[in-house]
Amino acid sequence: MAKKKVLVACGTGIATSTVVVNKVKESLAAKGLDVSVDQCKASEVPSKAASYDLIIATTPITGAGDTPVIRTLSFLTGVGIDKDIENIVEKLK
Amino acid sequence: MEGLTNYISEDLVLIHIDAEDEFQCIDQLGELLLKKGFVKDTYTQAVKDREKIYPTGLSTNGVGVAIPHTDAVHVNAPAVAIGTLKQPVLFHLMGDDELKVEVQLIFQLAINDPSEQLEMLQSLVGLFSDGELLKNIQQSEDPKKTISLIREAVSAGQC
Repeated sequence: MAKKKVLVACGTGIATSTVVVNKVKESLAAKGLDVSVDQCKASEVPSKAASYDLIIATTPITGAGDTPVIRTLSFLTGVGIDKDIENIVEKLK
Repeated sequence: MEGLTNYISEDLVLIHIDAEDEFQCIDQLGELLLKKGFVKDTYTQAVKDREKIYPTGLSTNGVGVAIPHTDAVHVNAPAVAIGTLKQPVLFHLMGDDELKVEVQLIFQLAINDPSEQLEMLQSLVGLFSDGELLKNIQQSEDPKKTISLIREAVSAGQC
């Protein structure tokens, strides 16, 4: 099975996206999932979405097409993070 | 992991800011960063402009926080200015056009290289999941204590 690809989209890619990418990687590795995680600005989603299995966004995004999107701030605040990780694992199955 | 502790100091702390809205908070913390030479004179306006489009309020299990910031081009050297509020100020929730969050703790970031400052950002985010700690920081009336609370938390490996 090909390695799953996750795209993390944030406002402008200055502060939060890098942190979210690392947190997502860590959390999924802890669940035994080996995925590749990339980051982009919200405005880049339409051109990139098609090559990913899942998009995690901290900001509203448009143009994700058929790629499922999870919008959450839990990777920054810790609030609801366990549920989000379960949700992500489920979507990547 | 030292992360955040390299970027904070007592003279970058404003205790119990008196502000009517989020922009007044950003002004005061921006002025402080400018005075200390960490940012350029374009920084504060750029932070406010960005906050309008990409708000940075976050709802946590403790005290509402915000992390206003802007592009590297407005920054001379990386730092984090900390502001606490006695009365909450409403910030827009990150990634939301409508919802607002009552913020009592602001970490205003001067970032000039996100990959270089990743550890700082990670330990900052680590603080956000400790509601008790956030409350203690918000209630501190002494910049020294504010900084030592954060240093202790970071060195305890919590963050």
